[in-house]
Amino acid sequence: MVLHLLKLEWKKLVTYNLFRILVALYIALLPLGFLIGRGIQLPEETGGTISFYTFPKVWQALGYAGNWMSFFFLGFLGVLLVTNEFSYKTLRQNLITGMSRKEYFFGKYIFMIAVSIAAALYYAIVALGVGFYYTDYVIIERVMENIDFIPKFFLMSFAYMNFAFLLGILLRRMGLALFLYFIYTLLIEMVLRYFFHAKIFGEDSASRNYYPLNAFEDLAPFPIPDIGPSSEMPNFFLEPNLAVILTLVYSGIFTFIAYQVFMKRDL
Amino acid sequence: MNVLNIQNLTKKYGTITAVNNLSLTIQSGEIYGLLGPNGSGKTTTLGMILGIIHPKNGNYEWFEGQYQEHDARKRIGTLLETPNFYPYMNALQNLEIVALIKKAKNVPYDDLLKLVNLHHRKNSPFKTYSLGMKQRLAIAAALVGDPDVLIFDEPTNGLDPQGIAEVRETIRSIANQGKTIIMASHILDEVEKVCSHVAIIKNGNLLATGTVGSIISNDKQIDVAAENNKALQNLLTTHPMVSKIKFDNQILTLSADESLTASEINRLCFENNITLTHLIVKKKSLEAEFLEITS
Repeated sequence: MVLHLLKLEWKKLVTYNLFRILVALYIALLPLGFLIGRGIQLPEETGGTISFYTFPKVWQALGYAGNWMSFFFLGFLGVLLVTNEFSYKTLRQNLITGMSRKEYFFGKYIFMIAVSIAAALYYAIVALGVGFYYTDYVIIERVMENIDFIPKFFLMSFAYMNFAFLLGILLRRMGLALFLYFIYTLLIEMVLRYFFHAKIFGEDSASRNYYPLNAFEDLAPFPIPDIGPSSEMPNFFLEPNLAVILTLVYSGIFTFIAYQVFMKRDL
Repeated sequence: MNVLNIQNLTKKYGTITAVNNLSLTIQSGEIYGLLGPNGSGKTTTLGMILGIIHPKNGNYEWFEGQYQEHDARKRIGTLLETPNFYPYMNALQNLEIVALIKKAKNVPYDDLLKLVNLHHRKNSPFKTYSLGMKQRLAIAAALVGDPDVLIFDEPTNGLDPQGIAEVRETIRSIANQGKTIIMASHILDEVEKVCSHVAIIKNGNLLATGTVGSIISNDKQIDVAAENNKALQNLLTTHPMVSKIKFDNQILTLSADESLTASEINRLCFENNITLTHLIVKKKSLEAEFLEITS
C-alpha cells in the first residue's frame, strides 16, 4: 500500500513542469550555491573559508546552504502538493474515484517523507564529494564527526514541507499559501520573536528561540567561524538537541492539525 | 440487489437546508434519474453518497454494505459536475491515474478512448481539450475498471446538440450492458428519454419517486374557457373524471382521466347552458407533471 500510494503521487507530479523545475533547481543549486561561497574571504585566524569545505565543518556549512534550498524549494513543493489538487478539483475526484481520505492524506505524507529522504541522501553525497575534494588529509573520524547532520537534514526538509503543506490545506490556494509561508518565515516570526516576545518576556529570554521556523532552521544553523576556544554559541541559536525535539513536536502538531482539518472538511 | 440505500440524509449549510431527510432505494439494473431544478440538492446528495460531503444526519449504504466505503466507490464510475483532471497530463495519463486509484488491471484504454471519440487526441494535454472533449474523457474515466454502477451528474451540461446526442447515446449503450445508472438532471426530456425510474427533488425535499411511467400519470390535460368561467369551474369540479382544476389567465386547466373526451365535455357544458370559447386537449408531458409536482 505504501508503494502504491508513492507511485500514485509520483505519477501525478512527474509530468508536471513546475515540479521538474523545482527538482532540477534543487539538484543544481545545492552544490553550486555552496561552492560560490568559496569566493568569500574570511580572516586568517578563523581558518579561512576553506574550513567550511573540509571535514567536519562541511556538514554544517552545506547543511546551512541546504537549509535555504529546502526552505524555498521543498516548501514550494509542500504547498503545491495539495493546493494544485484543490484548484484542479482532482482531490475530490481522487476520493470519488475510490480513495479514502486517510489513504489520500497518508499518500501525501509518504511522498513528503520520500522527498525528504532523497534530499538528505543528496545532501550527504554532495557533502562527501565536497569534503573529500577539499580536505587534504582525510581522517575517517573527522568525516564521521558531524554525520548526525544527515538525519537532521532529513528532519529539516520534512519540517519545512510539512509546514507548507499545512498552509496549503488551510488556505487551499497556491498563491496565498506560498505568500503566507514566505512572509511568516522571513518576517512574521521575526517580529514575534524580537518584538512581541522580547517585550513580554524580556530581551534575553531563551524562550524567544522556541518558535517553529527557528527550530527548523537551527537544525543546520549558520556556521559561525571558529575564532578561538572561548567562542560561545550566540544566544539566538537553539541548543542542537532542543532544536530536534522542538521540530519533532511542532511537526507532530502541524500534522495533527492538517489531518483534523482534512478529514472534517467538505470538498 | 439493492445497489444503494439512502436513509434520512440531511445536509445543512448554515440556515439553508440543502437536502432534507431524503430516503430512497436504487435496485441493480435501474436507470435512475434524479430530477430537480438547479440548486435543488441533487449534487449535494451525490456528494454525500460519494464521501466528499459530510451529511448532518442520516446514512447510506452501497451494495448492501459488502465493501468498505471507499472500496465501494472503486466499483462506481462517476462524472460529478465538471470533469476534473490534471490539466498538464494527456488523456491516457489521466486515465492511468484513475486506473491506479481503482486498482484496475488490464484497462482497455484504446477501446475506451475510441468509445468516446478521443483516440486521435489521446496524447494531447487535457488543458487543450474543448468542453465537449473534457466531458467525453470524464465518461471514459467513469468506465475505467468496468464499474457496476455509473453516476452522471448533468452529463450533457454545456454541450452542443451533437455532443448531447452523443452522450445520451453512450449512456443508453452503457445501460444496455445491464449496468445500474444514476443520473442527475434538470432536463426532463433527458430523464424521460433515458431513465427507467425517477426521483423528483425540490429544495432538498423528495417530492415523488417511482418508475417514469408511474410518475407520468395517464391523465390528460384539458384547457377550457367560457364567458362565465365561474360557472364552468363549479360544473367541472363535480365531474368524477376530473381530478384537478387550475385557474390561470382566464383558462381552466383540467387534469382528467384518459377516457374523458373533448366532445363529452363540450356536450356536458352545453347541456348546462355554458358555451365554451376554448377547448384544447393535451397529452400531459413530464414537463407539466413536473411543474405540477414542484409548484
